[in-house]
Amino acid sequence: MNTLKVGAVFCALMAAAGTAQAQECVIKVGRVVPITGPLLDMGRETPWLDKNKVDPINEAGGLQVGDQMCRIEYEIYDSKGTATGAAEAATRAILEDNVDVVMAQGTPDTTNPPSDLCERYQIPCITSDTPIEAWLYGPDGVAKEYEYTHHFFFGVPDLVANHVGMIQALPGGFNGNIGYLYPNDPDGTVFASIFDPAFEAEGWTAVDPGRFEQGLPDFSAIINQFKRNRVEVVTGVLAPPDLQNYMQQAAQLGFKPLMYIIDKGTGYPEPMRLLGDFGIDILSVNFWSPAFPGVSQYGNYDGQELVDRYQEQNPGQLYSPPLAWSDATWDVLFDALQRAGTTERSALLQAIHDTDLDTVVGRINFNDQNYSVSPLGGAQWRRDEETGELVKENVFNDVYPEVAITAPMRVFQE
Amino acid sequence: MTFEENLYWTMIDIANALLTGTFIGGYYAMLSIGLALSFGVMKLVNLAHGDFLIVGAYLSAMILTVVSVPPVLVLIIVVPIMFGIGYALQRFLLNHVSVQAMERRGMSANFGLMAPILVTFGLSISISHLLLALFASDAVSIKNNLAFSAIRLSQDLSISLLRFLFFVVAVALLIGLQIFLRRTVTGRAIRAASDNPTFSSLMGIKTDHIFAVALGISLAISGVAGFMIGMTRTFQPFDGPQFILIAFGVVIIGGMNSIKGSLFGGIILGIVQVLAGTYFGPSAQLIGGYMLVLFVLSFWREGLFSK
Repeated sequence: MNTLKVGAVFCALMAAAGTAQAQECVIKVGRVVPITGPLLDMGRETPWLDKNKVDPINEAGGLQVGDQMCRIEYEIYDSKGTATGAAEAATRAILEDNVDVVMAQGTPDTTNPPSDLCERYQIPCITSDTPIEAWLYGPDGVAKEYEYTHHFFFGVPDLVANHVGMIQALPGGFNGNIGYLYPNDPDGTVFASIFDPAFEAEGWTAVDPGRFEQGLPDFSAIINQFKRNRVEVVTGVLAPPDLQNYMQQAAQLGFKPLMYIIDKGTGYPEPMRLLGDFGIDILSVNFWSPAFPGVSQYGNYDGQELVDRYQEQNPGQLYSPPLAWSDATWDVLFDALQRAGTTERSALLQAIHDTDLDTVVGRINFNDQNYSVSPLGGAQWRRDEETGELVKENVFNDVYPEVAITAPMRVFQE
Repeated sequence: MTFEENLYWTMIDIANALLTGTFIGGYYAMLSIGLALSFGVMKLVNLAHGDFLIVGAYLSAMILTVVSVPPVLVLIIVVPIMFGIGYALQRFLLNHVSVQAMERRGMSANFGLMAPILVTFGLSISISHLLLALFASDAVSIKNNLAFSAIRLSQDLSISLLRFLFFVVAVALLIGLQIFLRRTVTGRAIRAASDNPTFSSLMGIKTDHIFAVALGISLAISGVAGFMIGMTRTFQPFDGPQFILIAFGVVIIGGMNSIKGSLFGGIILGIVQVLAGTYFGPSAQLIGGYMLVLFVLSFWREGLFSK
């Protein structure tokens, strides 16, 4: 009987020792990104980037954290491009899979629900690729107090300065008449309310046909209104199908302003490819291109090298900005882990907060409200004469001179 | 602005609304003929109609990624495929749940009407998810240079070349369809089966086959319309419902069982939309169209051009 007891205790001890020996350092990361659904352009490169970022580290035995080597495990949770989908994805990551860190990106719909859930469940979270104000302010217009979530992207004041600056920089100037294409959706109403006063302050005259529903069948009345009022600059936020419809009808009616600044689908190559030659010379905010300054500390490459590698391994694909935002998010995490020297949650959180790091999207340095303002520029679509492929050139950098100018700004299809 | 300028632009606005509206009408008619036909013949409210338009659009776009021919030639393949899908769908599924089948089984008329609606609603959901699984949710379009071309009437007045061509095709198709229904044996059989399926089957008409042909034609036309969607805009797997809204509007205005009503319904809807957009701002464009539909529904329940 006694022997049996001793034997049992011995076995239990052995088992305990066994688990202690097998216990290794693993960091579980939950990536919440849109893989399907309306925002899939924003998650297109994520699987490639994540694999190419994490695999080399794990193959080298893991990331050095304090005196142990930590393996990085990650899983991509599809936000389906909706707020509900993002909330479900983050809930699964946090509650079912017990991730240590959440990383989310791509419009308020996919960053805000995970941010809120991380606050509730006290999980460190890093987000990007959503304008800071859209992440920071709640529906009541009051700034949220984030404790566990840190965010980096451009901010609205810079965006306004950038667009006003681009219009001022239009070669040859213009007559002061600006036409609006702001639809009746959250982007359209917010953009109209931000830009209208800024343009008015410059003394420019707005020609505003009013907010319209997405999927408007006919733009000819709007285009005639622009013509009648001698509009020379047109600005707005249009979803790709509407932009295509508008550009077709403008071409048919022979309306050709000096400048188009259109945001939304214009940041991505796929919708621009569908527009073909009629998308050439459209301007938009440049929320990342290889013209951005900075070098990744984990891989030692700059933006151009990252883009080259992606396009080389994915023939026929053109990079889009989220490639770089994903890359920088991993860098922030790796750097914080190494500085914390432990995977313990509060130490890691403090280390993320203390980040001061050079990345492919520029320097990241979080403030008291847990965000870091990233640079932006002014993009214009061109066609590479050798390859015939679309290129997004950076043509304006007054707001962030460190973002390089890669081509001079042109009047629209002159 | 001077008085002359104001007058000029007033005229341009009216002329543009009439012209643009009319030619949008041709496109709207194409989107709706299939729906009008299946309702007119089989009393089938095909809630998957919009999704079949998108199927036609995807088929066209996908064939063009494989072979490089002038886009319009894909219709040689798309139209028979769509006809085949329509024929098989009616023959092997919808005939078993149709209004007529329910009557044969002695079910109540209400249930007879509901069953096909529910089945096609299920089809609609299945089709859009199937498209998503096959093609992901990337926006697709049929690349062509015509989309940006126009027939310029004056400096400020022009007609979209594509919409002009669509209009011509719609008129030709409607005339062809009328002749087919009046003059050919199959056409007459379709009309007979539509008027009274029981008697026509007693007269030796194979109603199962005839109904299947009718849905085949309906989907074949939807294939052409889907091609037109792809030529003018980008589309995604879940875009079907927005087109069925247009098609319902057109069919309600034009008359539930009138095929030529599709053209007039389309034109009226188009003109009202553009006029509303011109005078009450772009946000009034779609609302103006829906108000017209409500108005017609309140006063002419059978539509304006019903038989």
